[in-house]
Amino acid sequence: MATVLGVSAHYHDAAACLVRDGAVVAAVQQERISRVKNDASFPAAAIAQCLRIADVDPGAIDRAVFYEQPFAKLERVMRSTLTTFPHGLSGFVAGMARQLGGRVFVLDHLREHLGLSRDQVMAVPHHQSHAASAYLVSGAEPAAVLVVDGVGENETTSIWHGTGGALVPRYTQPFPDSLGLFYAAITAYLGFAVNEGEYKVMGLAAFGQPRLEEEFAAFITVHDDGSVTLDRDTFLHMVHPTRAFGPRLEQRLGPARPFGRPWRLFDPADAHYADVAATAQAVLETALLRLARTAHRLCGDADTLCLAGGVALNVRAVRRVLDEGPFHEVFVAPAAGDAGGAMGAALLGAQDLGDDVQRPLADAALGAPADAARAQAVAASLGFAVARPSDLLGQAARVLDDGGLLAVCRGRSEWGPRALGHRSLLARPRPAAVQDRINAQVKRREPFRPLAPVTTRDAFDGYFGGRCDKLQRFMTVTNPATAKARRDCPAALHVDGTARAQLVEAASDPWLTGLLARTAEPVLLNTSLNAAGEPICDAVEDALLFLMRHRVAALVVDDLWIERGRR
Amino acid sequence: MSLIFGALTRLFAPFVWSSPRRAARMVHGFAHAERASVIDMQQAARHTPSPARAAQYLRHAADEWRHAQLFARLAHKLDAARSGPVHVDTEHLYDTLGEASFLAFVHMGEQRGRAQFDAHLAHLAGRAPLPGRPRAVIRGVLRDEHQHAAYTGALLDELEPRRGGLVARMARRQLWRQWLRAGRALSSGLYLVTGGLLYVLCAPLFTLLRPRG
Repeated sequence: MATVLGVSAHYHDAAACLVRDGAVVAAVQQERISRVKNDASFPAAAIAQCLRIADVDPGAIDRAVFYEQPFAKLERVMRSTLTTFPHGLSGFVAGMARQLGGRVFVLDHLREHLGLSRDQVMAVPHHQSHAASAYLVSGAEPAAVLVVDGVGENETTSIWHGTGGALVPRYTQPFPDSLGLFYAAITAYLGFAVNEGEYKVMGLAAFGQPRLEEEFAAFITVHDDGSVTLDRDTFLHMVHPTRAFGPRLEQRLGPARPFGRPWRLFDPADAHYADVAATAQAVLETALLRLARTAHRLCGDADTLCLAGGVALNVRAVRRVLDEGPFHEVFVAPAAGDAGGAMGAALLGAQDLGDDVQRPLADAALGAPADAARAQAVAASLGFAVARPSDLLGQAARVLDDGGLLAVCRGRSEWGPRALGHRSLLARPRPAAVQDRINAQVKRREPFRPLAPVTTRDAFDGYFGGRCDKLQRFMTVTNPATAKARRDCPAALHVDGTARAQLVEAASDPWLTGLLARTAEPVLLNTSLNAAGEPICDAVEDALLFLMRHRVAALVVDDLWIERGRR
Repeated sequence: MSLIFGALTRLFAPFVWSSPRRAARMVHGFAHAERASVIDMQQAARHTPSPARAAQYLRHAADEWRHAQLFARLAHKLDAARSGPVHVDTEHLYDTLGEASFLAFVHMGEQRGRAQFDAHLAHLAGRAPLPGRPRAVIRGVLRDEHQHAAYTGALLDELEPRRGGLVARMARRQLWRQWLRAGRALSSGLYLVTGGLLYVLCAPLFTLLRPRG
């Protein structure tokens, strides 16, 4: 019966997660509080938030667990840059500055910050944290666990056999051959920010054709078991921690796309970049599918595959693994990337202290609750119209049916990169132009970025195929749209006729299912409540700032209805 | 202190505006500062116990957000290559300083910004128009800076009626920050040299570890 804090930090997406008596009670990403997108700094604010939510004093923490082993990582940085002499010079200098600038001392920092003794602080391997964050909350027993990301301490891909709550390593691929870093390099080549723009590459891929296989074959080989070999002269992550690719990639694929240039997808130049994205996506899907087959072979008794690591956020690849892979079920946790490592670390720490930690994650609403009283007071001070309507759902449904955008900040905030109806922007999913309107006016982002639908269990199969309940709750897979969906909710579909559909149930979210029962169609468009380049809103002040800056009809904060400037 | 910043800006403005690339770099820096300010004001809005002050901080944040966008667009128009992401960071000023000191810090920052923008406007007056109409952009931002300086000054009077000492402390803090920045730049240079030397010394040993074949 322990209280354990898990922490991830210092690479990207710092987070904290609190597990009490084996159950996850709070999980918060640092970016949501600091308001710095993908904030990697030591998550002091996220830790404080978790403790506040669970009403736990730092002195009551039995153990704090960091999600990776700092000295093993330091060793890898040193080895990879020193063995590539003289090319690794700048990588050595930059990498050592990062490591010695705080990363290797993180366990001491954690101990001092929480006032714990040294033996109360531990570190677990990066990929094991990822594996635990998926397997232990999946509800599957036994399970094969596949972790694919950029790099942990030294592993870039690993397969684990989850059985009886334990994770047994079965396979690893070491640095520098990395599927995640390959995709990151293509992300950078296409003019997107690494560790942030990967999902843009996935969205862009649907606009292109995977016709550059021959060019790609010169720098990446996907083997039969799913492992990859990268050309050392094309990718630079071996010699530099932040530069993803070198001139060799541009010799093969043409000049890299400049950051920030507006996209014109029917322009031949941008069509070429879409083909690059499509080919990269095809390579990634092929590798992931082969890895899934390897996992099945190595964990023969498992019917379920748990996917974790940043690559597991690639919802198109997850669909292929589900449809074409050997497993009956696939599970991806809501925060599959590095933030999720905090949850895995906390669960492993609690397990080490004897708690039974194996229980399905029912809900991703693990952050701080919205404070409606505070929202009312601040909104009143802003001169906004604040009401508590007797039929809030009816009012919301009318606004949505009339084509209005509705911002929602209710209950606890979500864990992971998807807004699942607690910090969301909702809209009617038709006509198709709604998508362009939201992309251009509200989100101010690329025109090829899809928006996602949310619907109920009763309506789901009418609109979307390939339902997989484990994945639909957390929006971690794409689904093919039916003819009805193409007719009734075109704004929520991607150009390839798929959608990253969310399924809500009355038991877990009566508000959203109630709303879907009152709107003209039982499908709504659901996108995250954030402005361009900003993290998803967390506190009510963030939501009010969103309302101030964007043309939305109203903001719902729990039972409050807030409109701009009508008081 | 704002007088010093204004004078320095007047001194350097001709040099900066003589090259679109340099001007774009500076304006991109403005966008960065405004984005950081959005975060500071948002954090202040979350933490202040007063809903009325939270509302004022949110209005301020909304202005800064608009300024950041205007400056980012202007930088791009001055030099198309200057279109990189506007990275943001936070010093958690509200948490570190407390509300009164935070307000003093922001108030002084607004005054400093006003002095700098005034100097840029004075330099740009009567000169050939530049891409992106920087004068119009700066003039628009300057209006907001006046308002921000006024309301933060009024709030400061409310929270700390004898604000002289606080403002002096924040001025010292600002100087200390500049000193630390200079120290960081110097130590970075030293680190680059020693890191490079260490690499050259260690590498021969590690090349023995290099995989063969």
